[in-house]
Amino acid sequence: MVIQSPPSRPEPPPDQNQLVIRAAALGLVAAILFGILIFRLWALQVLHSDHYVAQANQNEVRQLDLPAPRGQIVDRTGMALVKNTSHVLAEVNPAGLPGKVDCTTFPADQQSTCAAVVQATPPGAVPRCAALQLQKRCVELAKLGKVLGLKKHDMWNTYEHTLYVNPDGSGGCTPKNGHPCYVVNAGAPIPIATVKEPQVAYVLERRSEFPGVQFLQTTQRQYPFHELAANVLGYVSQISQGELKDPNFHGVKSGSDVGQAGVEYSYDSKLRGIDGVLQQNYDATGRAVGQAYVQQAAQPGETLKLTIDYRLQQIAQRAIAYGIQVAHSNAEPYAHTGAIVAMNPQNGAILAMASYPSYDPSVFLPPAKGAAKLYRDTYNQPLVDKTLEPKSPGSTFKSITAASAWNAGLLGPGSTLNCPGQFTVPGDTSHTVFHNWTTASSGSITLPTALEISCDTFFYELGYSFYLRPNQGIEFQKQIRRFGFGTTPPLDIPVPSYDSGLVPDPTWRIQTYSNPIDQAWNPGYDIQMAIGQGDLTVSPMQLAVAYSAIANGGKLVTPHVGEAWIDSSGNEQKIPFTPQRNLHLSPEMLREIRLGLYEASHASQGTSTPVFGTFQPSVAGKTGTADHLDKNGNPAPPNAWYASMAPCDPSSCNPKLVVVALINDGGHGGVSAAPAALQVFQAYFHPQHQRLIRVVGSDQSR
Amino acid sequence: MRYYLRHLDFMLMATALAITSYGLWILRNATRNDIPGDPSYYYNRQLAYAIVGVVGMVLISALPPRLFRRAHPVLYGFVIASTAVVLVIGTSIQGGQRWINLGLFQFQPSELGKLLLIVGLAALLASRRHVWSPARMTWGAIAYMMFPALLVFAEPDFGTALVYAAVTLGMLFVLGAPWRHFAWMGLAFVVMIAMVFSILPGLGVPVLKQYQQDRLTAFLHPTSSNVQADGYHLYQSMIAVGHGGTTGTGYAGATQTRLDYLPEHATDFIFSVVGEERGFIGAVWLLGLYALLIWRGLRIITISRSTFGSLVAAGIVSMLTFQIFINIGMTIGIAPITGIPLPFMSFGGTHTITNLFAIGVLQAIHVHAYQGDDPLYA
Repeated sequence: MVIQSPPSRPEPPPDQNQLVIRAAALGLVAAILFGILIFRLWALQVLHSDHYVAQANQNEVRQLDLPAPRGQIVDRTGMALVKNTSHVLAEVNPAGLPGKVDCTTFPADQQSTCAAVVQATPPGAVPRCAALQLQKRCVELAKLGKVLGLKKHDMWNTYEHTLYVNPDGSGGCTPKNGHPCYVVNAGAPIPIATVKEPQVAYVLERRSEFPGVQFLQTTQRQYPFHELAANVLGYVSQISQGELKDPNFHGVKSGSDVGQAGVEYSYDSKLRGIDGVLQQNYDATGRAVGQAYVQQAAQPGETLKLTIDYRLQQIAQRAIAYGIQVAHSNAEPYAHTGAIVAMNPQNGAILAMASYPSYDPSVFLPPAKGAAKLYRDTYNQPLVDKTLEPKSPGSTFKSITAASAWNAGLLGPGSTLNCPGQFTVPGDTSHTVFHNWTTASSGSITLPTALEISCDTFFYELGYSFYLRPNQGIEFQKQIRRFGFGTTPPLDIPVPSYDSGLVPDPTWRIQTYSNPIDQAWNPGYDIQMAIGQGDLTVSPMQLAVAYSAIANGGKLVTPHVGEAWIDSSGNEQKIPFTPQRNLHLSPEMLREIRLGLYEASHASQGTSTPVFGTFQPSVAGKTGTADHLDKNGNPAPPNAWYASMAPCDPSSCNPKLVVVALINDGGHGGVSAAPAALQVFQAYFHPQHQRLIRVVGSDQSR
Repeated sequence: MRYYLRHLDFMLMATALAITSYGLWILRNATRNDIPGDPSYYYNRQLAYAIVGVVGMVLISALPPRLFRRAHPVLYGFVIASTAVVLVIGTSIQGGQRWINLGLFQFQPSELGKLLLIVGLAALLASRRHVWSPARMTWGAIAYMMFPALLVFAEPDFGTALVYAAVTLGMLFVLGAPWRHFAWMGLAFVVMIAMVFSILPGLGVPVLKQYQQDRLTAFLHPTSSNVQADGYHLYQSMIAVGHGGTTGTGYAGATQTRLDYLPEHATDFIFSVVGEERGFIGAVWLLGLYALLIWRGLRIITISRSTFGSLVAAGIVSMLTFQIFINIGMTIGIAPITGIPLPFMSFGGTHTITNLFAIGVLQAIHVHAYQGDDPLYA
């Protein structure tokens, strides 16, 4: 814009009249605009303020879960077996970590490997840290692990194990050799480890270097007795994607801790309590501002009282170790695991339920460091509850055979059968010989004597008689199943369905074998089952329930470990358990079987007389020495059993305690299992004697 | 000196200082949590800008307006040059390339350009009065404004370009342009709106960037749905203003501001803070102060014996009125979001200093109101 030369005459003054009019008009426009503003402000701030006040309040406040403290678990005497302690827990929020893999950040020589791994990953997932270590996410996790004192692989496993998916995107993947898992980096914050004050301070001072890391004041399970009753108690860990669909966890939010086994699982709904609600102010970027306040208090879980007696449980666990030691010193070097069930036969309350070896459930607390070791121990399998694992019961089963035969009319009061050195099926062209454990013949004997000396041929005869019944291979099995064998015991902790045990019958053979020769039902199967051998398997728990029926006069009790709920004001509410059914056992039969069991542990030829002969009160019990094959199909050392009840003698038999002991690969029942059972009776009836009784097992019979 | 003091408009000065102080107080509370560990970060800077502005205001008020008039080609050239420089080497903040980094602070030429444009346009129109025909005056003014306005629009800073247009309109109005010119301009405005928003994009010529278009239309549908969108900002702003109610929540209760729900609460949305903390009463009190300011400006238009002085005053009054209305209207959902700051209130160096300088220019005109136009041009 070029300015022209100044004009030659002075500029006339402005037209004041017009200026005033125009200025007034401009003022009017301004006044109108201001009027609009004020009118609008009045509408917002005076007329409709309530609406916006409500919106503002909603903006700033968010509701958070206030986790309810989990209920304690105490034994029958009130001793706490599981407690809670307060901890600061380090968590990593998946949303805070890089969700995608950027191969361009990798060193040049690894970029193609990275691209290949990423290529194989299903949509929405990322490779495991173990598969692609240089992912940003994994580097961040390893950095945090360094601060927390965790090895990077432990750190990764802890973080990833709830996030695994299969290659097809479905959840619940377990990384094994040749089976790839991937990670979906999303969901609730993942607990990593309990941390100490200096670690918290270190991370918080360098917030930006630790994305996604947060700390949570929380309660955590504590196990004062460490390895005591781990199989009963179970453990607690964060709910997995798959478990969210479990009806047992109905209404549980993702990220919550739930019981994973034992009573922690089966009684979870009441142990877990009801979460409360916290109100917390947040700014627009999601930072918490000020202190949270409790809008609705959490309702703590109730205390669960168990039927378990912690002292008896302790003794039982030690008794198995003792039994194994005895086996070792009696030329059975392979004895390694075992189980003891101690039950009140009148109501099924379990006083001790020992599985050996046990474990400390605290290994499952974050960072769940030792859990992998437990899974790796495939020889001892500490996570397998040996009280529920079915095995060949051997001669302990003869009482059941006797009761079945009596019920089927094959035995009666005072019946006698021969006890020769061996048994062959009449007319068997293959001349298969079933041997007694001793070649000597004991002549014609009664049922109590047969139990006392554990005569195999006596029971072979009964088995063969069952075979001869019109509905071949049906009736014996039916009688056995009435005692609860062949189905999972209705215990109030989870029993895997494969732990139902097996009562072999013709249908099972047809389903299991394809060769017609194998499918056929032969007399040998009934004959072997009669002495607790062959394909028959029963668990110590099942045997304890069956012996309880013999002890209590015929009630098949419901085995249980839950005794009562104790609410916050100390009121106890008993958990009801009714017997499964009444077996209607005849008193005559019970008398003869109990007498047989008594003599087995007291008479001169009794199989456990050396152990129990002088013990008071009288223990009536049957040994079992069960031949079985190892995993490779080779003959293994026999499993040593002992099934017993006390007090029980011929004049009065009203047992208060049934004990079933099993030492796997322990050899003769009288040698290793009976001494283990003795420890439990000793601790129960003579609690003042704290020490283990040393017994020299010398009996070599079955 | 005595003449200068006797002819100062003390009410104008007091009002400007009152609003500036009120703004500093509001800003101090509003930004306390913004920079962790430095609650006075914004306050200290704004205080420094205000001090520079007030000192400049006092100095400028002592200068004779004819100095500005003579300097107008230089001032206009500076507007063009500095705005062009921004386009080439400027600093980008939030999508707009509007600033030049001067080390101490970020200089925003388009803000200072408002005042310089007013002075330049006033000089042009005053010297061409009775020389050009009314139509030529109007076209000339529009052409004079359009050049810097297009440069600013290209930054892109649509809001400031609108301020340039509003200022030109106000000055033409006071100059006495025929009413029919305004009718034509109104029609042209409607056609332009239609072109920009509908016809040209329909023909495949996008005039506005998407974010500009979204911002301009967001006030028609405030929403809480998208956290990123301007509609959300507007929604939060309206909640803040409504939350204040009649008497305001005070500092502690102003959760929208304090918890950072209110975006840009130091700059474009500072009026929402006033609305939340001080309520309807505080908001109307602030509008009252602005009205006082505008009244003094209108008065200066009428008492100035010089056309140049009246036109400069008219430009400044138009600038303030337009910015106040658009900014406050934006925070309460009756005007588009254009990024126009609230005079004397919003945080920002150039614009605070420019507005205080503008008051200084008004003072200078007031002081020399009876001197008539520059005799040198006679």
